[in-house]
Amino acid sequence: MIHAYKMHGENIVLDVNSGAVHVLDDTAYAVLQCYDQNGTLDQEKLKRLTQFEPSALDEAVQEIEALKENHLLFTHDPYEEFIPLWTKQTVVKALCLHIAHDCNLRCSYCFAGTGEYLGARSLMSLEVGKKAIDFLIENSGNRRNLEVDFFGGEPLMNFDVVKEIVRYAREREKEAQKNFRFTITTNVLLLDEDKRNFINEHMHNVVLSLDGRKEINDEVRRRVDGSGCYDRIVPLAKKMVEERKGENYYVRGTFTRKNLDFGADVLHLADLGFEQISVEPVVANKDSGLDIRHEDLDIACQEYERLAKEYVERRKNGQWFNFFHFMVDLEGGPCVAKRLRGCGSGTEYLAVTPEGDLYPCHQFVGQKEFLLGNVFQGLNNNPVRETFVETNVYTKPECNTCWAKFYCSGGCAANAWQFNKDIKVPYDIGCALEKKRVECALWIKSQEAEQE
Amino acid sequence: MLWYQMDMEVYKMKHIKTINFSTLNKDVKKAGCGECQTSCQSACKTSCTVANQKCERK
Ligand code: SF4
Ligand code: SF4
Repeated sequence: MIHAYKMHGENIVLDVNSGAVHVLDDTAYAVLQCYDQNGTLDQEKLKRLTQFEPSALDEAVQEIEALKENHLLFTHDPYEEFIPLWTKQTVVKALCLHIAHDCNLRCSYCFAGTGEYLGARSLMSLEVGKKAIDFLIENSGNRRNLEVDFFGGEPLMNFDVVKEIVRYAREREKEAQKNFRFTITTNVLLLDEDKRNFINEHMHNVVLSLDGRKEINDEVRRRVDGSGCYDRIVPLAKKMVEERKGENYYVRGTFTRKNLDFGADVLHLADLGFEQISVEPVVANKDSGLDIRHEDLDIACQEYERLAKEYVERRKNGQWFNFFHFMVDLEGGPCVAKRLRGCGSGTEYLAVTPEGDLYPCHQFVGQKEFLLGNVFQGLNNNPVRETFVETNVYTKPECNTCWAKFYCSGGCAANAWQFNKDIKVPYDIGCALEKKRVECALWIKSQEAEQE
Repeated sequence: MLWYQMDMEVYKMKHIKTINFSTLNKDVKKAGCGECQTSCQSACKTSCTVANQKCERK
């Protein structure tokens, strides 16, 4: 399978199964259109390319054939036979701890219903936190690297428990021969010096929520009294990043259909001096008025392309920054096994509520049909977990035939459930945006390769 | 500029520039050790793109 497309005047082709990427001139691109997905050349189509020199067409055909022969174009799928091997293990290696089902903001798009999810406002006790650590150690088999994300609501509202959980995990990691990596996702409001120091000392990564331009951020990210939070957050976030020496953090924003010019927000965050930026489409239901709709896709996709262009310019001219969804490591990157399975929700990744209940991930929390057990009694035998184990890009029809499958890895199960009531049917709007981001990422590679 | 060997001849590409060689299928047998980071944990929390993740083996 191949995917050929044009962006900003460049002709790009991705060979899906090998991961090879090529840039073509117009002649070769026109010739490539005469091939079918199996790599068979249609001579009749080729004859109709009268606008090109016959000798150039011959050369282009020869070059495409050379790529085929060198397994760089129209390669077959060598992975399918390995899938049973890659999907059999179901150890748990990451937990998302819902430290506080409460929040000091009232963001209008919050999928957690401003912190309380589908339950009541509550805080995780240290007892539940310790049990969660025990549960992770016991269910992680031979996996050494274990991850714990402190999430909410707002985890800083229950920070003493966070500290104690970290201490407890560090105590247990040696005898259990594990290596814990902690991360925290926060809205920054309560990030005082004491908390910053603790986070900088113990956390592998920190995700700071901020949407971009002040008016955009403050429109949705409001405090309980209705006022915006931008002015308080920006200086604190900057301080945090400075104290972390600019490493291992993300400033993470959300865009909605109200700011489809979200590129301006990404650039605003870059202007503020942040270098690690992630701004993502909102996950919101249809009556929120904020969800991205089919009619918004053209504008949103164009915005990604525009942002990609500015991104290359800035990175070239000393204003380097990283946009999470434009990063793709073509040479290294994760192994194919990882690319098939994606986020691991419901299998290697689980969320824990303040009460200790287990769910497939933070976005499933509170939906009772997805309850997978709790940290005291362990996993229940909810058959829904099997569905998560079985799900990968080969078992989802849309993904199986999708050119972006090894970059996207099958999308978000929670979105699929929310919009299609089936975790095997991906959310088509998410797909359209994801494919555009991958196209942009490959285009950026082509531009940066030229500069080298 | 890239050169390819085909039918015993070395051939110079004029119309196509390869910016990445095939990388996905190397070490297929070693794939899946599982020590890498869980995708959604890293930055997004609402979606997953794995292509930018690191492999713990390298
Ligand atoms: S873009 Fe959509 S169809 Fe393609 S792999 Fe991702 S979730 Fe599957
Ligand atoms: S299902 Fe979606 S939200 Fe949940 S871990 Fe996976 S990508 Fe993240």
